[in-house]
Amino acid sequence: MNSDTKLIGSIPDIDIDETLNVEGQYYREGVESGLAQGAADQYRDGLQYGYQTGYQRFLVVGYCKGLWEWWSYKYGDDKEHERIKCHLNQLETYLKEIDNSNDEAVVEKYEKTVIKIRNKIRVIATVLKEPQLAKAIDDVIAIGGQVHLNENPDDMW
Amino acid sequence: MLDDIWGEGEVSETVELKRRQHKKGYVDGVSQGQTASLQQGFDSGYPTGADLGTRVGRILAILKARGDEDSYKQAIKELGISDVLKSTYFDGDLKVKDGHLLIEHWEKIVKIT
Repeated sequence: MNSDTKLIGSIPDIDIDETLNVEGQYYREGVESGLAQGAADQYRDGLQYGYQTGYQRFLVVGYCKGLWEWWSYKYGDDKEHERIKCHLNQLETYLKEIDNSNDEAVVEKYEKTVIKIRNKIRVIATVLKEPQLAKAIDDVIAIGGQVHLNENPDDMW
Repeated sequence: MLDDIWGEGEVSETVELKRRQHKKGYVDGVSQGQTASLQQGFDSGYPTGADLGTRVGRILAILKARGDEDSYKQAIKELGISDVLKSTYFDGDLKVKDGHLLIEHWEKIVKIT
């Protein structure tokens, strides 16, 4: 805007297009700042939610992997447990099918594979007369849901 | 004096216009930037959470299978979601720090030799 606009009684020399351009420029600058801030905040929120969900969903996978590891260590070379070795090989195959990405198809496969894994764990635990190891899966899943609300939320990120 | 008054007015109008337009744009921008980034963050965090969950589940399995009930109960108490995801174990960018000291501590206890 030039100095003529300060003269009382004269018609201000306002360029409407320029004014709108300036308004638009301020708006666009605001959008850019907002996009960056909104994206950063939401990315962080998404990351935390992803951690929690991934943790909850994979406790059971880890538990079954741990049992496979323990049973393989204990019975892997034992010729009296050929039947168990066969089950353990099948269990290992199922465990290797589990992928930890959040792709839709992968998540769908996860659901089906976890059912097969839990069934196999139940069979092996029954054969070995250790049913408490299969039953404990529910305890393990439960710890994924224990968020203590009375704690300081700032402490959890 | 008139110059001063008009000058200040003009400046404050410009500032106000800038503030108003910037704020409007900022609010729109924040809203536009949210959805896609939330999903991106989730997709990045999920595999890390899955890895932590897998490690904790494995620890519990080995303690339970060994018949070490006291340690198993202690691990259940110490490795709940709010303990494992405590800020202590993450850096400022929420990346896992030092391999996660609490989980590493328990991994040493259940090491199968």
